[in-house]
Amino acid sequence: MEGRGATRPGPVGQDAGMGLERLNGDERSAVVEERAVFSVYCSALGLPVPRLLAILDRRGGGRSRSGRPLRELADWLAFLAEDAPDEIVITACTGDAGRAARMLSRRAGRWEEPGGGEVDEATLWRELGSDPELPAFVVEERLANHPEIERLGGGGTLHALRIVTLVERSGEVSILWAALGLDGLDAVPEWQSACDLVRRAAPHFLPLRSLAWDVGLTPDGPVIVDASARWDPPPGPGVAEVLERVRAA
Amino acid sequence: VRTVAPLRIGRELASLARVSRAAARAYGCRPLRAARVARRVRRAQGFTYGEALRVGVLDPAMPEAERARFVSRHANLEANAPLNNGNEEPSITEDKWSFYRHCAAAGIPVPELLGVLDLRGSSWSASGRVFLDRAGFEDMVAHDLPDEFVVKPSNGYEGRGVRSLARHGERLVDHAGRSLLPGDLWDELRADGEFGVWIVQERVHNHSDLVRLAGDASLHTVRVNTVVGPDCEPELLFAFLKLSIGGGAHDNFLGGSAGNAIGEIRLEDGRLGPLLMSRPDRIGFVQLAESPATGERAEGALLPDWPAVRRLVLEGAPRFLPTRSLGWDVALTPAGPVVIENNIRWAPLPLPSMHRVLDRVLEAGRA
Repeated sequence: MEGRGATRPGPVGQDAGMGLERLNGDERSAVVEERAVFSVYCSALGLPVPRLLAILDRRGGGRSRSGRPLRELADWLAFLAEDAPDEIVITACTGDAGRAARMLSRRAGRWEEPGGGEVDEATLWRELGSDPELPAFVVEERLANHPEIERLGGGGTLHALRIVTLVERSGEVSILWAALGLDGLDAVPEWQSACDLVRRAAPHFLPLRSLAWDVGLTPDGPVIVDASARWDPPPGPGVAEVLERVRAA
Repeated sequence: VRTVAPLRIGRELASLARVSRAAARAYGCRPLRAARVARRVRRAQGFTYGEALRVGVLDPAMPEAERARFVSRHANLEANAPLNNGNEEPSITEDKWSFYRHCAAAGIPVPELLGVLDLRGSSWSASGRVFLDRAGFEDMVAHDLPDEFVVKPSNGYEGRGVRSLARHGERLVDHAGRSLLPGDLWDELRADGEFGVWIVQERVHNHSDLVRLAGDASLHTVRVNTVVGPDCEPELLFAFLKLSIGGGAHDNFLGGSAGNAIGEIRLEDGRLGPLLMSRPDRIGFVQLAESPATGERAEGALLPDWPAVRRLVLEGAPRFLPTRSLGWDVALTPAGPVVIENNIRWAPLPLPSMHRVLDRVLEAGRA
């Protein structure tokens, strides 16, 4: 799973010949592949994830957290007006989420996307139902950056910390590598808390042994934005060591 | 493309001829008459010829109005598609290890997940053991598992690959009485050409009322269907008991071919209707008031814990949104109802009462 309106250090999604299938198999698992399932599962485990505001399904069955059915435009408009906070992210439940993620902010009663483009709510409703391959979406709260990250140029977009975990054969959870796509930081804020969080989360996803976690570093602490069982090796000189550890695991 | 259509038509005609002859023998009518009925239910209701024969709708003595109330698998699947992601995977309901973890986290009672075996990836035992090979599995069986457990494919269907196992010394004995070493089981699973990921779970047992009705050789379940309406309120569609009396490790009915029995359940109070079993010639069904396994009275029996079953699926259904139409398999155990799985591709009962269910599903999909 990818997306959720966050920037990340590099491309993800391919095994790149690392032998990841030895650790994660080659079948897709709903707990990491379906966003609604992932969100509900993490919440039930007490793992911090962005607050799920609604599941939007253009085939019917969508509803908001408050219990409001979301089946037609009028429901959608009422949801945005009465239930939604001023900052939201809309992401496809399955498929190429990066393509479908929409980040929205409400300014003076009007919805905007980054860059200032105004978004018409009815047009958005139609657009979200226009691709038959992406009929279902989650609407989540949009996270704010930790002040230290925002100061270095957050630009209103969440800068997620990518941490890749490996559950060793002993059951211990190791951090394989981590990266944050932002220059100028001496130390990553909330680093230890973020590592503790993914170490706590990883065993709940076994037998998937190596997951790439995107962790939002927020003013309220780390929040798991995403997890992916298919990730690319890190750029740079550390790649050989990572590949060696994956192959030996 | 030019050659495919004639081939398909040829196969269809051959199937129609076979089915018509079989129906003529079973019902004592002319094959042409049976063929006309078969064509009609295919066009109007979506029955394949074989399905129409099995369900019993080719009986020329059946009134047209009654025949029209039977629902084919095709019509049912089409009606459910708008409610269930177009019937496409991936879905939490098709991926059982995700399903069991999801349910356990959400507080939905399921059999304890004891491990997941990914024969192409890594395997995990709930004890914390992580392993990749036969030796690891042998250690898991020796040290982590109880004396009885179930192994089944994570994305299995129709009961395929389900093994109910009991420990006998260092060996395991399956539901068919076959004795094997744990390592042999690992090799067997590895050699399976269809499934790569297997779950190991607690074996749950039948409530004493069901044992009295149909024995305890295998698990019996109730199938309860729910649909979440456009107002997001879940409701019960229909329910039936599945008695595993065919000698296998599962209770799937499979159109009657598995030798198991089913019986419709009255939703209000959990009272069982007559049992249905396939006729010996597999054409239509016989209705039985008593269980063929024990002779106990089945029709009219009250199932145990029915209010708890209702509550369980009605509270569980919204947790699987945006999937809206689910068939829940619930075991009635001495400790209360336990969800064994839920399904998006559920089969209609071979009963005329199913037309009301189909109407309700269509209505939910239109809204």
